[in-house]
Amino acid sequence: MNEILEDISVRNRTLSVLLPAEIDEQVSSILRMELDRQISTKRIERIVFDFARTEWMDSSGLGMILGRFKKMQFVKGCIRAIHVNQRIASVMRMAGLHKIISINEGEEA
Amino acid sequence: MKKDQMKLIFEASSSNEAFARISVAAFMTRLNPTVEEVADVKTAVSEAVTNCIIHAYEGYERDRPVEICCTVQDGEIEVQIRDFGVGIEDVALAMEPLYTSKPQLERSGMGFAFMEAFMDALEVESKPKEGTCVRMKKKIRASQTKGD
Repeated sequence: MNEILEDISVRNRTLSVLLPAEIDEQVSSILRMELDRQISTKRIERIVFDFARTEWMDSSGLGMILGRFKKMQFVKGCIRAIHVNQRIASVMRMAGLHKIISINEGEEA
Repeated sequence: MKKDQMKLIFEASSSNEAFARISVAAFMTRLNPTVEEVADVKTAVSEAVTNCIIHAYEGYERDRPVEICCTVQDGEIEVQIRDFGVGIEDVALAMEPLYTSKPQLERSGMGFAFMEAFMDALEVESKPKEGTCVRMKKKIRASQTKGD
């Protein structure tokens, strides 16, 4: 499961996460810990979640993104979700995530 | 169509989450579901199993069984997910969208709302100190056009 960590990179204070095919509680808890470690040690200003490979996500993933949003508010940072498929975008909207982060169903905007 | 059934018992640990939802998804393929319908059921199962892992066995070191019982009949899948943990004091409150008993853990509070949204029927029974049983049903459309 820790191969997820290999898909996290930092450049110009932007933390980029290439997410796996399915996001559940197990994946979310690994990401929560690692992203918080990066946020607090590398002065991160932006987080980009790349859903290009992701087909499925449950509410654990929403909680994980929501929690990182709260953290980023302290540094006035922002969060973007890119390459989000239709299903995951609608799951995000159900939880109101579209009101606080930018969600792009296609390429980066 | 004849009735088919399966039962799974596994430990409430996050490493079993993928196994649980994929097993149910595999079992329902006989109904010839769409990709979307499979994703709906996987989400609902995942939400219920995550509840067992995060909430049901709080303070239990060992002996944390989750029991999934699946039935398919007449183009419908019924999934029953049961734990024998702490139970829910106020089921109606727990089922409210955005409610979470663990805000410090950054839960989205959408678990029951998703089960409700992605399935056709949802029933929750719970007794403190005895456990919780979630029963969900979903009609699979494709299966209705196929005789058996």
